[in-house]
Amino acid sequence: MFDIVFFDIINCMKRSFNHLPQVAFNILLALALKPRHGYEIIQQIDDDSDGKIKLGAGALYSSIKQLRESGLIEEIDMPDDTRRRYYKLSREGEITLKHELAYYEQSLKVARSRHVLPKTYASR
Amino acid sequence: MPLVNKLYRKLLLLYPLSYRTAYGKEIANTFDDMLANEPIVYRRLIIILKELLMLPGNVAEQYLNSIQTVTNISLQNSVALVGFLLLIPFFGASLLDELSEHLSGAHAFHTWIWSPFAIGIWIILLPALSMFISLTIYTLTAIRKSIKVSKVVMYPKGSLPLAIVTILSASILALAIYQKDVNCLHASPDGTTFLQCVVTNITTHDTK
Repeated sequence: MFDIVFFDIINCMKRSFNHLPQVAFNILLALALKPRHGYEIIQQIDDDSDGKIKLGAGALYSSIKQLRESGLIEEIDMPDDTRRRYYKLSREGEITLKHELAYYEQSLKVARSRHVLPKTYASR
Repeated sequence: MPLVNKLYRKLLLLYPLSYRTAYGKEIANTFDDMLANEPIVYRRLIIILKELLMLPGNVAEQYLNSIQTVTNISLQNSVALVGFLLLIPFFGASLLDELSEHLSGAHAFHTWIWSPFAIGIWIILLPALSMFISLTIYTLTAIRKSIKVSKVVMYPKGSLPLAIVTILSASILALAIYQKDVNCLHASPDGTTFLQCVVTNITTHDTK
């Protein structure tokens, strides 16, 4: 519990108006439910974006490298599948994702109140 | 293993060694999974094409990231710096000519700097290379920060130095292509541009 609060405070102090790049956000979102390997992440992002984001293998691992260096994701061992490398959200990654989602949720609320959402989204 | 998968593994050798060691095998396995799980032929072709088109940018990014980790300069600024360094010969040669004219009253056109071969390098080749790398990284940065290529952000954050270098190198190239009545090394006819002068002198091997 303490480490969650600690990272939360640190993230609030670090947070500016620089949000995660779109690909990084989508990777974190894809890992929110369970650890995944590279191809699973690509598939999940494709599903989450209704087919709008089709990530390539090269671009994926560039982002994975940056996310690992930022401490937002970690590599884990999966005894059942030694051919692939699996990744999961770190504590800091969970908190960062939580902040990003809160920002988007707030933005949606504002957009709804101003009636600026496209008709297909306005009723959701 | 299919030929395309083998070829892709060969192309991964372009990545820096450290990145290749850490992620090369995984990138190759993911590419294999992407192709294996796509039943439609034309969609497999799109996957292959997309990987090939993005590969140069991804490779360049990893090499420049390795510079960034050593120098602590951002990727965009590193490329802008390299691009600017490629333009220094142009400014240096122009400055030397101006100094020569002010100090001795004569242009420096008789020096080796203004030989056709040297002109071809500092007024055409180096600015073209500068423009290519600056524009490539600028475009890749804009694409990375947008979901759809059709909605590329025109000015991605932190790319001002890149934009400046791109415009500068494009201007120098435009000078070479369009500036006429330039006193090229061998008194070219009126209306000759730098580019025509350089090409003519190189192709006729005029060594006077």
